[in-house]
Amino acid sequence: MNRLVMTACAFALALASCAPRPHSARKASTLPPIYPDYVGVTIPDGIAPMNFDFAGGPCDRVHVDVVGSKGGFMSASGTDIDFDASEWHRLTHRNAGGRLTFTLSVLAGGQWTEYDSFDMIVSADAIGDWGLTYRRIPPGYEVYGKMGIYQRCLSTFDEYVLIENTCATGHCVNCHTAARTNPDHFTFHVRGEHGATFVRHDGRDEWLAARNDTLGGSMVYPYWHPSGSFCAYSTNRTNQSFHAIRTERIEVFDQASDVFVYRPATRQIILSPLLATADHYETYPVFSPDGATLYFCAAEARPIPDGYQDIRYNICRIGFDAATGTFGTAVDTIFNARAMGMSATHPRPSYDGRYIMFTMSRYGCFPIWHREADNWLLDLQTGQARPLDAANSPETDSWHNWSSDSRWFVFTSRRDDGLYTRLYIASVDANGLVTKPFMLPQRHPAKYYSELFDSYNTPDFTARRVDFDDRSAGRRIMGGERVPVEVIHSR
Amino acid sequence: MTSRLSSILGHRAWLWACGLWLAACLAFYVGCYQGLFFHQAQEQLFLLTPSYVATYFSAPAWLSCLAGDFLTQFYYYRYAGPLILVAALALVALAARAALSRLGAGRLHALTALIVLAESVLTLHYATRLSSVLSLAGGLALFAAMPWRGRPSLSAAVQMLAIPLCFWLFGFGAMVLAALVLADVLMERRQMTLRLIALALPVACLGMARRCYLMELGPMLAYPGACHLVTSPADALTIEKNFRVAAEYQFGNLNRVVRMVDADAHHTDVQLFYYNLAMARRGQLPEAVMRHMPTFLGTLGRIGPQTPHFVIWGMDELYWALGDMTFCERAAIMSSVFTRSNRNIFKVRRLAEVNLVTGDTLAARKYLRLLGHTHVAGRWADRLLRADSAAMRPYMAKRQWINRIDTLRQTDRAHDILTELLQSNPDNRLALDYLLCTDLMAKDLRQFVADYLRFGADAWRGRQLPELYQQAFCLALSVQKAPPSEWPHYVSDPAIRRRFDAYCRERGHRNFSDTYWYYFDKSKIRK
Repeated sequence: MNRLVMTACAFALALASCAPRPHSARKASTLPPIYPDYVGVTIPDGIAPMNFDFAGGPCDRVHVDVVGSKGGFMSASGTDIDFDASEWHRLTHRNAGGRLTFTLSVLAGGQWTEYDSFDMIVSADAIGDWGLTYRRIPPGYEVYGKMGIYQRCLSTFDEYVLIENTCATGHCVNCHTAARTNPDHFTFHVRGEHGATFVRHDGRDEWLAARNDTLGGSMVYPYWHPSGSFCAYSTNRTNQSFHAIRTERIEVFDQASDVFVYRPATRQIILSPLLATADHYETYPVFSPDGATLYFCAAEARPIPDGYQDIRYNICRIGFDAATGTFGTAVDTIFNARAMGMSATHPRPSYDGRYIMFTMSRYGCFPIWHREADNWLLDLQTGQARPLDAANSPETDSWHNWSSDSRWFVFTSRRDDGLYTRLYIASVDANGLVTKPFMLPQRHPAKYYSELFDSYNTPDFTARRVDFDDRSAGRRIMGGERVPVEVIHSR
Repeated sequence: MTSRLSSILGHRAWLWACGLWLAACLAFYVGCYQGLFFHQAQEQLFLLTPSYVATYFSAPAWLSCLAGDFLTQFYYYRYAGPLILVAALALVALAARAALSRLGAGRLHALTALIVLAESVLTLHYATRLSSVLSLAGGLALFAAMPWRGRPSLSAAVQMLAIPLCFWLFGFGAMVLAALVLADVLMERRQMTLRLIALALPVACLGMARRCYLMELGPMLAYPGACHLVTSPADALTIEKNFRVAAEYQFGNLNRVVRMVDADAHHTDVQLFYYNLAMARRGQLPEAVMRHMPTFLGTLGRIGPQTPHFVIWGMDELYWALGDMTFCERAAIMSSVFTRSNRNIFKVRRLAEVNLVTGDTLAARKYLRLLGHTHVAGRWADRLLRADSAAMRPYMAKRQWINRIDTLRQTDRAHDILTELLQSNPDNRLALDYLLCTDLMAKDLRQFVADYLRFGADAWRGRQLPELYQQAFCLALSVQKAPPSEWPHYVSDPAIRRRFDAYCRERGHRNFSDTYWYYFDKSKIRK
């Protein structure tokens, strides 16, 4: 057996030595153009190999040498860079808290060119979560073809279907959320003829009626209470319009929206008059990590379409008592974006309670088609907010979520082609320093992303792989049997 | 092998009959069914890249689907589709005869003819893909090639392997293979139990492939579409009319579109939609819009989940011609969504064109890079990726027609779109004709007059108005009780005026069925 392994290794080495390696390389005093742009990014130990393509024109072959600041070396060659996964993981693990230096050489027209070396910083903070969940959908405006919610292991390139609408034809699945990345508490919404809200709680899967007459709408934009005993939702009367010329393509806005909390154990929807006012739109509810506060976005109602550019959301809060399931008596504004002539949406508190990350745009509640949309960080200790300059781009940056250790965040950005959103991951250190984000790695990123017609949205980390039977779920969706819920009013 | 082949080919009469039938099929496809081929060609985006080819392994029948889709892209070329499909039917005929001969079936010729005839009928359905035909041929051929006769235990072992292999390669061809094996077992009657078990086991195991392929059992076993049967020949011909007129329009054969529709006695909405669009591009919409009634402009409806697919598929052509890139992009994306694989090569091309016109280079390059991997649009995409000035010229020229009024549109109400286009470019004659004709077909005379005065007065200053507009003004002026001195400004042809006076005396008479007045009084508005 040993002899067999030795022979195989020798054969592999012989093959490798046959591959052309850089020699007599001309030096190019510039950083290499690569896709995705991984130059200077910060990555976690355990991330899937950061494969990339040379983006500086046609070439016959590329070769990269990778040296770790704490030791270790690896190289890769081919028409694109496709690292050996186990070698990559060994190298990144050894260099956690250090850096990897990449030296890329490119063979074109019989001449090798060696570019300036670049680094990837390997953070000392590994992502504690197994992977990501996200929705992939062709941007189909009002109708949808094949789309679904997927989960992706972060240390490999493996993607798994969580639920696809091929299981429930003609339906749209969206707004999936786990409780602090724990998929034991899990919810998502199904839109369509057999619409429903799925809630997994304490090992029990339930399908609630998608629309509730008392609410006047369906249960969307969920966020779990840290105890897993409550889930906040908003109910939105959403409309879509089209920009006649190309600054943004689509405008999605609410013509009414309220916030409420659902208690799965008792199947009760808890309403508060403070979260369902007639002259304000309340949306995007999220609980603070201690569960004592419910944050949400609120804007004064304006006539549509004339006043659409004047709808600007602030971030507000109200107390919440999980013991009694009651709300506080006053709403405070904690971030007044309107005073800045802006609109703040998608608040997401870090699980360590230090920050709220949100998206800032010129107006409206749906910044995903706003080119100026950027992610901001509100420091809850100082009350100061600032844009995440290191992570933002001139194109849309939005829909973010924190890793369970609050050291990493994932968000969507249209920076790649201005049209389709892709996932990016960046880190925040203990001092709030944000690093350059990296695009979600793929085995052959240029091919993968150029052939993908889907946009990513609503990404979130998941502590482990979500166990979900999509076939059975499809049958439940199409079956139409729904659990009734009771609506009560908070004191 | 040689003797087997010669025995298959040896029956000259059978060959003649088969050849004649295939020639008849070819003639039928070329003469009456060309539109379907073009439609199928655009129902996919076949990329010659390893990663795209690898996607074929995520479903059964990778070989027949890969071969079928590869060949389907050539359907774009006139006559290529019929030739390829007839060649595939010939394969079915040969494989069927070989399989049945192997089976030792009686009435060999009749059974073979039945299979070929049935498959030929199935190809008339627009959802029957070339890969389905190849799957059938594959299942039949695999049965013919199985080395087993006379050795039941070997046969049992071979069929245990052959059925899953056939499913992997040819999808529902495995079901055909299983049926033939069952027939063989029943006819041979040796070690029946062993062979039946060896047949049942792999068929039962196919059910387990569901998890691998993420498909429901029924669709998976029938993949890539075993049986799409045309239930109504009239419907099939109607669909073909729609495919054909769309194809001719997309090829830029406006004269053919017009001739085809003029020569037809029973028009579909889609035919009239393209007819009006073709005539509008020639500057003759007012003359044409009432030629085939009830007409269909496409501007009185809205795109949404309830809109017929055919209309959605054509709407991007309307918006493209008018110059509204926002709605053209939306219609193209929705057309893609309504395509089998969510990818429609010509709609992707349109998306690239829209972004070239609007100057959204990043988005345009994304689509162009993809199209660069296709056979049909590869060269075109490469030229644009190189920013070849000759290739870019039409898109630069189109920029002058796009909308420059930044508003938020809650709907695709055509009146708003056309008005904005004319505000941006008063010289947009196509938009002007559509605006005025839309007003008239909606019987909104007040709006017609307002739109004419706002946008049309300058366009026709010093020139005679089209007859349709003069007829409309007759009605409008008469309703408004306008003084006689005002009439000649709008109704400059005295013959029209005289005929209108005659119509007023015999209001609603069929002698005037070619006039707008008759339409206004008697016809329903079509949306």
